[in-house]
Amino acid sequence: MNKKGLDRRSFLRGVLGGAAVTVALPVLDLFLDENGEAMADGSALPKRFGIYYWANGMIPDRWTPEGSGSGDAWKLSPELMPLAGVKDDITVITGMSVKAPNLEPHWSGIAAILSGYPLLHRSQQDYTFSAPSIDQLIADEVGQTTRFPSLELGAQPRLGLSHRGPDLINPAEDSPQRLFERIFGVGFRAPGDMSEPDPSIGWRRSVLDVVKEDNAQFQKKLGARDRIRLEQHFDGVRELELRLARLQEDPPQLAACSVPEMPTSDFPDIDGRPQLQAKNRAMCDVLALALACDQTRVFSNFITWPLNNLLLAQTNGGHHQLTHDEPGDQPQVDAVVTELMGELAYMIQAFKKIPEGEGTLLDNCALFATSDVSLGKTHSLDEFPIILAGSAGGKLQTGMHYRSAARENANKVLLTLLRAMGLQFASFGEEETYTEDGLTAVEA
Amino acid sequence: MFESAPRWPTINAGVLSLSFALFALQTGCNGGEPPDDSNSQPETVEQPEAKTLLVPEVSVPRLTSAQYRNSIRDIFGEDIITPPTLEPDIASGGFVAIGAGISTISPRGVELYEEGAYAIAVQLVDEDKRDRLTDCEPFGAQDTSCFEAIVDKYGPLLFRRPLSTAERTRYVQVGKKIGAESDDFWTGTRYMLAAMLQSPNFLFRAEIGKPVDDGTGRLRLNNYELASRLAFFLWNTTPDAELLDAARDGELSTDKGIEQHVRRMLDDERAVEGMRAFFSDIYDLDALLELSKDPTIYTLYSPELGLWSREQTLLTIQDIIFEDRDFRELMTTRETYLNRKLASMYGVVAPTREGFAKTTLPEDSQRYGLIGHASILSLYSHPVSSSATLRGKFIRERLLCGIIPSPPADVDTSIPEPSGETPTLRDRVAEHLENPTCAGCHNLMDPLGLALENFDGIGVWREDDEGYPIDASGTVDGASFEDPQGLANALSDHPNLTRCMVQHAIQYSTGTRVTRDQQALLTYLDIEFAASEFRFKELIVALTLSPIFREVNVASDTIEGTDNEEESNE
Repeated sequence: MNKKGLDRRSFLRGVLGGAAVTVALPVLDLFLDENGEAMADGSALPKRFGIYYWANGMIPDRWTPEGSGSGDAWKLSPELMPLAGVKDDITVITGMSVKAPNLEPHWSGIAAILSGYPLLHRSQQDYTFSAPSIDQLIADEVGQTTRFPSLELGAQPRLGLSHRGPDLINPAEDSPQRLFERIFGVGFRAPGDMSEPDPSIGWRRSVLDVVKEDNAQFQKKLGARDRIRLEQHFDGVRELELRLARLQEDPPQLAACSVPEMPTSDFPDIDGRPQLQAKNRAMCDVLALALACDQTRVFSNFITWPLNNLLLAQTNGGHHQLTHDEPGDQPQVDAVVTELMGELAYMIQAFKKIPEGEGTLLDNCALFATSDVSLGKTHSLDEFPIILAGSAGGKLQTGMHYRSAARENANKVLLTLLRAMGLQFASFGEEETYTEDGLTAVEA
Repeated sequence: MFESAPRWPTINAGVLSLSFALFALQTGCNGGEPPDDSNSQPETVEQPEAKTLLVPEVSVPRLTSAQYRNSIRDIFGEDIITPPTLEPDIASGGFVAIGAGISTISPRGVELYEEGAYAIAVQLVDEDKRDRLTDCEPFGAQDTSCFEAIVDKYGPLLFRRPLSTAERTRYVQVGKKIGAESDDFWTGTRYMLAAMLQSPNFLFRAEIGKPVDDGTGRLRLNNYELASRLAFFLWNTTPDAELLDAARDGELSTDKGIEQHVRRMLDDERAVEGMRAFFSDIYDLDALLELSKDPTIYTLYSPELGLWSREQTLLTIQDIIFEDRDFRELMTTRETYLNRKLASMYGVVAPTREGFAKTTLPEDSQRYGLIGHASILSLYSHPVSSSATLRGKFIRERLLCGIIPSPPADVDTSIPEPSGETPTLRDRVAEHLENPTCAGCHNLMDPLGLALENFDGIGVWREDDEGYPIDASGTVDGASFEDPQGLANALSDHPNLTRCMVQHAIQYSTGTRVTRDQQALLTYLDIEFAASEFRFKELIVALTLSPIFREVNVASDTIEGTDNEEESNE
């Protein structure tokens, strides 16, 4: 621990001691090296990856920006207007196609765009992702040194869509308060807190050793299929052990790290409508500081769930039903999409508010926003909605609209994201989704 | 109870005349043709021999969150509170019982179970409660015999079997270690109990069996595994001490012993909870807890509608099961349970001022059986309108166990808005029924749902649809009907109705899907079910006595070399 960190100890104690309060810390460059691009111990500023997923697609005619290229060469479309404040921080990619067979409406699209591989279709009622979602590939690479390899959350996510493999779902947290407790609750020590770690952490680790031994013995009784399931449980126990070990280490030295305000516990529906906006914003505020405190470098925000029939944006019908049955230009569906882009904008802004090095947290992010279909009415996988935000520490272009004229393979975008995060894949996908090329036009 | 219970045909006796409608629902929707009923002539079906049945594969389900909570309650007491958030249940094909055998525990789940374990353990060692945990008076923080006493008492209850010597030692050791470091026996106990609560031996049910001696390669569940499977099926909770003792004493090795315990368990009040869990899963009734309707369109809607209507349905089902009535009455009965709000929604006199009470709906109410319940009618509707397709799909898939494929992707599935030309839902969905791309499947669903158009999106009766008359007539697999009552009667007589219930019972209790190769399992038990005149409890007895429940097949994807050097029990 840098000795200078001790200076902040008493300052932060108040945060830990009692009720959570937001402490707006000044940008303390003392932990960065002279050029401000790396941590004091010489390691580079961490890169983060995040997914923002919303359900049921968009309306291509209302979505696709006018003009393409950089800067003033393109204009935001009506559905993207809420992103006006961050136009220079995003890259909108249109005209790409998800190439996987479109066999199961919504699910074929979501599996392919999040994992790069087609949906695994075992039977009519039995399907799942065939491969891990890319957040998990990235977490395996960049998430192994943080307390949480990845975080999954969402205002109305039902289960969440992050997959470690077939049937292996990482459930998303849907309570802002529980998200807060999980990251900043018992055991969390802010930068500079040099108090002794809680002795109970060591005891919990002893208990986990017993659980691991039980698991190893249990696995011996099982066939291959169930052994894989128990192996997953074992991995989860080992992950928890590492998490506890990190709590026993000195807290991270990050200038912008502070404990956010604890969100309220309850967001009841009002007149049958979820408080989507309030919940998402409370979660994004916690998430931004979780990233700033380097508690994780990978996250997925599943704001809504495929096929959800929520009453959103003052519409008079469930979202999914409207996508199919609203006549004409579908102004109500349009309003829902616009609302959901407003929530993406909030998340991006939350990251942009946090200074880091010479820029902001957002600069060190690669954010990937997408859905499960383009036009919900027909479950189309052409004109797929894709927005990137942040430059991944200078690896990605921003402020750009890339228009694909030739229905390019959307997996190119995934490959570009994986490479921007430091994963040197030679190719990605299989059969129709296979590609060896990234989308070089958006790479910096 | 057992002595006086009516005997009924033994397993190999039944040769019954049943009519089977062999629709091509397993693979698709018959290429756009309406179902061919030429095969539905009554035929004599011989009961397959029990030993030839292709029994379900091995399944190692994880406890559902309800099973976890119930287990904690039954082992440690009503006043021990399980935290609200555990790993969520994951359904597969719409069924949680099947999802439990496929899904695992995620890293987040490991965290939640850890939190849950400590939240429970801290209550157990509370100064007011520790007396009931054990009689042992600890002599110091590392009192081996007191740690052993606690492990010996709770280990077998949590793991649903005796512990191996190595397991027992592991728990005692971790208790002693932490007891020593904290200089407190009860702190050691807290961590020791938390370890057991996080063990896969508690969180997963290893119902894996041992090879039968007949050279067939089949595996038979041991008595503890059988006790566990029985308890989670019939009670949705862990086996009680009586059942575990019966397993230990070999009582579950004989048909007589199993039947005795099954009947005891069905008479126990926990069976009510067990059957509610079963029907909630097969009809997806828990989704009612998240029901949401637009209150500006449905002025009689209230946020509790889902909860209340679910209760109506479950109470109605309970009567049919526990009063030993013909299961098919669920399709047609006018007897049900209502509270004041539901009664007013149904336009009938409230049978009670407080809570729910039994009542018989008037003959002219047109609410016959399950398909007249607000639960099914509102759940299988949209937030702002009814849906012939969703209701028809429910009947086809969940009541008759047909399979309706998803609509083809890349087609516009919208239906026209109500207008002068197409005023009613029947007019509006007409295209589905004429367009060959849609008709194959929609012909199986929409006509059934259209029969229920007199019930709006929350299940309130309406004479007309915005002033236009409602035509509720149609046919289902050759049987025609004029109104909801006619549909209810047709479903009650439909040969797939009871066969489907058999399928649900097998799938739910074994945590596996019945495959196309296993249709004989359905025939086998449907004959037993029919022989009992469709008494649901008798179906359960027949199932639990059959090899379908007591034996398992090696999982098809098991590779060779399963390591058998596990720690021996003793």
